[in-house]
Amino acid sequence: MELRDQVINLELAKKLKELGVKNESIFVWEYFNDQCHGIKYKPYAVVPNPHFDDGMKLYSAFSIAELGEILPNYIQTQVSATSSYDGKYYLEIFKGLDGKWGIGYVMDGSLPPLICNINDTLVNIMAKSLIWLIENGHVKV
Amino acid sequence: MKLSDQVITLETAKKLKELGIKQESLFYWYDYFVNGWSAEYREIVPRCDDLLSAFTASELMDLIPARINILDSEEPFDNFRFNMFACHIGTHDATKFIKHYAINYHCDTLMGDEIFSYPRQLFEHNVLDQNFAECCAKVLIKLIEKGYVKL
Repeated sequence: MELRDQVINLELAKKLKELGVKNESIFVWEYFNDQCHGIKYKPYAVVPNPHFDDGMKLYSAFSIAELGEILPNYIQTQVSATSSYDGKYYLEIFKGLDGKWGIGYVMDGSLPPLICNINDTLVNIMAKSLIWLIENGHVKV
Repeated sequence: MKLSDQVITLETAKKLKELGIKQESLFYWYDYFVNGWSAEYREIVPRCDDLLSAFTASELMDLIPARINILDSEEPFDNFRFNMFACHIGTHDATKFIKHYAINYHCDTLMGDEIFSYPRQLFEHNVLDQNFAECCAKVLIKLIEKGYVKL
């Protein structure tokens, strides 16, 4: 399995940095421009390097294990005092018969999941879920 | 998060190798002899025939089957689907709660009156570990040993 499939993509890495998620990961996206960027194992990242000081940016290329630590086990919703949709939604990771991963926050079988992401690598859908949770105020960074 | 918390332990790595899992990974357990074993990035590990994969969660999740078919049949109650969740478990003195990952396989057939109840599970107990990769590895070992995964 390639490194690229084990960490979040550049777009999601930029978004998580913009949202203020702490840049603590063992891989980083080194970004100079759209033509020149790549993933590096942190101990061997090329920056800081005087040749790349101008314009080289680093974004955390989070892995599954790192995002697993950040994602909450459950989230508590409170839409209104009487809403039957309020309560604890628990994190669940599942795999479809087509081999595609899914991640959701579910209460029980009778209610639709609060959020459900599929159709990408597991690490990317974990990042998408985290972004949604932050943007909707369920996770504070 | 330290690298050692992102890959399987040396002991588990040895077990997976013994079971015949292909040793292809981003990290390998490398024996420095004087300084002992250390998980190292593949770029710096010397190429040799005797590599010991320190698998990551991504690599193991890729190997874990979506569904287990216990009798090689498509009959109801014979198929179980992957399910994973996270929980915090307290230490004995309850001073600390530590995040754990849990994996099980749930039966994908439900009785009419059980629709909203918790599904039956393939393993007697959830497979639990604090380390995401280690949790996946324990499941894979269990599935291979029980004959549900053929290599």
